Amino acid sequence: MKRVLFLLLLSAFVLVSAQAQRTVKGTVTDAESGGPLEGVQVVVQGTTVGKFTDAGGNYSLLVPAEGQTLVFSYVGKLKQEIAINGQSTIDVRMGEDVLQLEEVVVTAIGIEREKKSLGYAVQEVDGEAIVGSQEVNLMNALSSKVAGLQVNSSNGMPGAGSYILLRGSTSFRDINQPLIVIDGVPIDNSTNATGDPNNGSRNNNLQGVTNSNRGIDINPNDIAEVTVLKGPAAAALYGSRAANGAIMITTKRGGGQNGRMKVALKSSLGFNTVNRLPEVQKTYAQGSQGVYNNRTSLSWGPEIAGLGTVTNPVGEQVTAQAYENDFMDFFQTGTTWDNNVSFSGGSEDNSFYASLGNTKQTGIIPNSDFNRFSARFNAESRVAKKMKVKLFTNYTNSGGSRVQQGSNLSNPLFTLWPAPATWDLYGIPYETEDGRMQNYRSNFDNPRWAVEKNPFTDNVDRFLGNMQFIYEPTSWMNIMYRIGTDFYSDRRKQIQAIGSFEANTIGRVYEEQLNNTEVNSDLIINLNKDWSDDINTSLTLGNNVNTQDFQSLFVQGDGLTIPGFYNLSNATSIITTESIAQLRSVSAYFDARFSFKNYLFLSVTGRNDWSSTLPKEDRSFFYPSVSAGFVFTEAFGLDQEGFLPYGKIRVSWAQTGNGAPAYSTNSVYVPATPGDGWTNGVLFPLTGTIPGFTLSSTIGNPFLTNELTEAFEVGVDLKFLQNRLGVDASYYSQKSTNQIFSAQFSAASGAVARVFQGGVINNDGIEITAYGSPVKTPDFSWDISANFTRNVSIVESIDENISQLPIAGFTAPQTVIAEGQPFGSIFGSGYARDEAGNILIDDDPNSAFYGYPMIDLNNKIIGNTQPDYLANIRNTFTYKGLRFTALLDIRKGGDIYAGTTRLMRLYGAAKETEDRTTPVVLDGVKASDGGQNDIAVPLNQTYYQIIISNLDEANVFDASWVRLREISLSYSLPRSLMEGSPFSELTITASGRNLWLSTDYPNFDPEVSLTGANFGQGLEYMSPPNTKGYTFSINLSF
Amino acid sequence: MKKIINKIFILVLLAGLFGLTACDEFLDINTDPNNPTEVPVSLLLTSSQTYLAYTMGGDVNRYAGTFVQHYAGVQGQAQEEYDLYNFGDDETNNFWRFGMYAGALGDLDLIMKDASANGSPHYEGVAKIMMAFGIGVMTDLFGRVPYSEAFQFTDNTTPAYDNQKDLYAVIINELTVQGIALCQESESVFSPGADDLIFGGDLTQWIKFARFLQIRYHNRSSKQDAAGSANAILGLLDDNNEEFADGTDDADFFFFNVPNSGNPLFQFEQQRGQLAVSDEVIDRMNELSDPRRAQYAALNGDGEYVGAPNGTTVQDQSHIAFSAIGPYYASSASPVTLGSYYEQKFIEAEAALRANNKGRAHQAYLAAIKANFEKLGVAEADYDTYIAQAKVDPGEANITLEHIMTQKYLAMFSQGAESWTDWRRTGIPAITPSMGNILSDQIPVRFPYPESEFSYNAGNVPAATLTDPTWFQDGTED
Repeated sequence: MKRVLFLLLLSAFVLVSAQAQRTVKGTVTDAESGGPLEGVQVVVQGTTVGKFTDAGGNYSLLVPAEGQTLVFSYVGKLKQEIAINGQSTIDVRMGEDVLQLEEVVVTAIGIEREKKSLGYAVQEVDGEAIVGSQEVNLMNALSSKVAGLQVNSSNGMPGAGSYILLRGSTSFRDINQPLIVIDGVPIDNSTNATGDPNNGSRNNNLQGVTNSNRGIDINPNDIAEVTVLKGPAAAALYGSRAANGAIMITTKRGGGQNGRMKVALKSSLGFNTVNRLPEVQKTYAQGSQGVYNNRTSLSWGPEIAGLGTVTNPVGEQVTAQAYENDFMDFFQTGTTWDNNVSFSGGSEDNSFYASLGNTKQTGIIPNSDFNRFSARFNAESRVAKKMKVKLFTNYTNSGGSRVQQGSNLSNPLFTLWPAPATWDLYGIPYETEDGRMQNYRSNFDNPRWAVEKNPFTDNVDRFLGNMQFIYEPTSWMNIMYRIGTDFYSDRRKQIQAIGSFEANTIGRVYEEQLNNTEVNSDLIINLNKDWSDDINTSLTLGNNVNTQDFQSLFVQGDGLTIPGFYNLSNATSIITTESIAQLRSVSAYFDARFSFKNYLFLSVTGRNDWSSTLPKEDRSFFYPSVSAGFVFTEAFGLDQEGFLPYGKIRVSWAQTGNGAPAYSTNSVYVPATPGDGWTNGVLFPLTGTIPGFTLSSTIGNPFLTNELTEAFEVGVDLKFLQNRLGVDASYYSQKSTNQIFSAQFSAASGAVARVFQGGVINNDGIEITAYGSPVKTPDFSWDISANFTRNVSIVESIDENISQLPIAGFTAPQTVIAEGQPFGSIFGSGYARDEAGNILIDDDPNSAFYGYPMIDLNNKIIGNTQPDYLANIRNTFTYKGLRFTALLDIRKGGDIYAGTTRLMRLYGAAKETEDRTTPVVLDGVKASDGGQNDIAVPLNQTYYQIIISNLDEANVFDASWVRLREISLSYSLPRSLMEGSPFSELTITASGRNLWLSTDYPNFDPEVSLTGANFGQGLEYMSPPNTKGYTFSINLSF
Repeated sequence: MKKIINKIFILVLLAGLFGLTACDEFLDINTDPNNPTEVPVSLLLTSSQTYLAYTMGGDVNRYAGTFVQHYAGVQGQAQEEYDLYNFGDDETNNFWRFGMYAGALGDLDLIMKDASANGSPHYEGVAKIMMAFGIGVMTDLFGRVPYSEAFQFTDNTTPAYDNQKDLYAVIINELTVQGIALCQESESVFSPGADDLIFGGDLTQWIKFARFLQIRYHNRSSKQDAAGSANAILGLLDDNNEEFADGTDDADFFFFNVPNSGNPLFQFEQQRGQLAVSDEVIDRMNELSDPRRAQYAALNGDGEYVGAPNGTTVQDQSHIAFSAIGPYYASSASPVTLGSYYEQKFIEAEAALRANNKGRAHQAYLAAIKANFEKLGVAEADYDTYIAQAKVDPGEANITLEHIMTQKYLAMFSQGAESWTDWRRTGIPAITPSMGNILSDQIPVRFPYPESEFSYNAGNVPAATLTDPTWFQDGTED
């Protein structure tokens, strides 16, 4: 194969063409300024012959005999087509494309099309806006920039993953994030769980560390533009993985600079601090029922003032006092260093872009960091007159050190957040002289010990690349073959020192090796025919072969012998798990397009997939899409200078199919894992020597067929008043059916779960993007852009015997998919209520809970994690070289389980527990007679520890927020000052991220996820806090 | 040259087409490389026994053992949930599914099917006897449970519930009887050996255990058929077939002092530390200077044996105030006992008393205590001192059910399920509901059906709650 490629390249280079030609030359000028335009693309229509204009706006072109027309194009200018008619000099004045009618966007499979012609919604984010967000993780950088896109960062730790959703969830499985495509090739954006795979990713996500989503491996500085294909119609040609839309990333390339090389340097330094800390009470001491006790983690003791000398948790006699600074001593200021250099250049036939980037981030918790080094080389070359070769390569090394989080005995925050005021966590060493942990809470690590002694490190090596061969044998046909790969190795190591509770105090070390390889091959033939000036048809035929191969090897050693030596050889017990998942698909597809008079556009697509994961007889499935765009302003001949110069209506309908998870058609046996959820259980082979196998808790389904999402969408795109004001709005309705999911059934049938097929999810929504320029003068402009997102999801049905599926969390509370409810509801214990919904108050005078709310013993739906809407507004002011921009982000509605607040209440640490004596009449009715409650009770230990802590409903809060997500001020030196210097551009920027937050959610920033970047959003539990930051950066080009 | 390029593209096109035609082979990769699709029955036997033992010593023992006040909760779930009877359908969800129906019992059913198909009656017999034990425990705890329609996978995804009375009959008349007969077969292609972690492949032991189970389950009818059940028990004991003859016959599953292989109660206490020994047990032991005490409980922070009152609000994860569970029961290598000679002797005493044979009752009672002392390694002299107390041995004439059941309560420490069943059946010893409980001052008499059954088998799962007695208690099912 290598030899063939070599021959191909070699032969292409020496290819010559011998046809009759003539020379046409001329100058291109800017209609507005009158000056020459450099870098205008001049192409002989119907051929691949073309050049760019030089600094003086001049071009000279050898036109082949069949050439009739020259096409001039330049970003932001109206395209011009000029007939040659025997002229040898053609000068052109190019006017501004105010309405952006020529705007070209990248669509599915990497095909560029005029945005005007599309029958579905797409939205673009340029690379500057992505870098301007100052986010290390590309997914965070997209937050609040696209209507229909919801981004949720897991927490403020370096490298923390982010979950993204476009138009809601379409699957009962954790495959709801949009497909990420770079330069035409899909890449992996998984967030791989950490820990023994036998525990299941659901359990592993509740503990361990916050893992990265693999999209973090992309250097935002390399991105030229991101195009978001929002719905199934837009992404239909991606087939199986398109039900959730696609995020198409185009990386930077060189070119258009006539051989001059451009060097761009960017350097930035950011400082991050905790953006919100919980409020705690400092009045009451460690203890219970008002009595001081140095052995409890409760703060229900006596008042600290006047308590006098007590024995502290480490056994010393001290004067009781409230120590103020545990949080401030624990957290630190994190830094983010980001340095990039890129080289780009080329001519009309050859171009390249090469970059090196390095990001070093330290966290707000000691010993947490994230580093990323990336190198990219993109090149394209016209290797022959009719043949182009493109190459995109990227190497990234990323990873860092992470601290424990979640339901984890070595999570430092488990001890820190609810620490009694009388603990002097920083006054006493965390380690005794003989190397033992100075323990405050039995069974939970000292937070300082936890961050010093139990590091988790990950190290990812990743290569992304693709090669494209584009052959244009005639003016109406081109053939493209593209082969791309994404492979990474992720090496992880967890150390748990002897004494740490998460490893049962005996010490643990585990090593995890993950390898993921995806290879994607596309053969695409484009055919184009102009039947007349008014009618054009084109047809794309494609073949796609995709393979995904995921392997993991997990080795855990328990029972360390030598303290401080962290190698598997030091373990007395070893367990190993090996796992492989392979998926393959082969597809054939077409996209037939028709346009009439440049105002009516129709597209019909169809794709047939053959999936390895379905039973042989049902592995083939076909799904179509139809879309239309109608530019009514052009059809009705509306004045381009008038009030509404541009208006388009679009409508589309699409289906996308999907295969099954690997290996879901068979039942298998697995090593037995007896346990009970409260203990680690036993592992087979027992004692390392006695084997035991059991039927897997999930049995397969040999009768699977493909899943199906069907989507309907209408939209308008309106541009008013010379494009000073614009609105793009979409309404969509999606129905996802025939879901493949593993779910429980009656365990009395012999297995806990089986693979089901069925169920319906509906998503309906509205997306609005609007922009306006209230002020626009040559020196000063004020631009506003805004996005609005509302998605309403309803789980219509699951299965006749299943009304609910778990997503993530604990036995209770947990997030669930429940029939008749929005996707992602919170299920747990709630108040006992009467039929009218009033809370029942225990009014039995003999009851220990007299006057307090009663608890419903049966768990129920107690919250909805879906926001009502998301909105954001960006204001940008530009005055000459000065630019100020601010992005306000609004989330309305959507509940989160506040697990930390629950525990801080239970422990008596939360600020709200400070008044524990004033009697209060709680809202509700008396259980015995339904009368209005009039019993006054204090909100004391009984209330918080026994009632509220067992009432999940009382710990679910609305997560609405308004935040200043981005604010930045930058100054670019005027070009006049740069002249004569070697520099062409110098910009300095000061920016802030997440500087202001307004929310009613208690104690924390509600942009958080206990289980990380997966579909289990809506839970918060002893999580690390979020951050705010300031960044100073400098961009320099020459 | 142009031709070369054309040729190459034709090749690529052909490759694409070839891709389509060779599609089937290319796509035939969906056989799970990670896990076997078939395993020998020996591996299933080890698995099922471990699931059974972990469940009996874990969830089931902790819940029932707290209800019957072997333990008291001093932290977390044990304190706030089990001990206050704040005990919902999520508590039983794990062991019902993973421990029992899709764990131990599911594996046993597969062993029966596989062993029957491959001519291995010895495996089939052992599996039936274990199934008798397992389904017996399930109905004891819950009342009606699925059995006759269970284990059919997708052929019946909503199995019906069988009556407790009928299940006891299945245990006594079918599973144990067939199990004994199968174990007695002379030919078996495969027979259990070292994979049998309870009896090491000794089929005679399994047969004894089967007869022990018949005795235990006849005794469940003590309230519904006092005389008949007593006669059946004494009849079984007096026939020529062997039951448990001494403590070496006991059905014990020993865990290991190796990481990831430890006893479930040990693990719970080590990893959670939420239970202390209840004062119901410690006070009785202290009163009688019980020489078994050091095995049952650890000294508290003051060097004393102090039991925790059930419902205490004191948090004592470090076991400073109250005694932790003692070494015999909560060490890594502690056994989980499924049936014992001393229990058989207690049942004999009870049955003899019902049959008005006080002499036999008295003898069996003392033999039961002695067997339990021996099991715990207590010196014979200490036994003699202990029974010299009138409160322990009132003499043949004065022996009552109160004596038998109180001593059985102590001897059955940490066999929570069976001890709770005894208490539900006899009301002895008289224990008071935990302080501050949320169940209107009633000790639960039934486990709540698991959430999963309400979700996935709603048409069949009975509506019974924690306070509804089962058949053996009041003669009605729900």
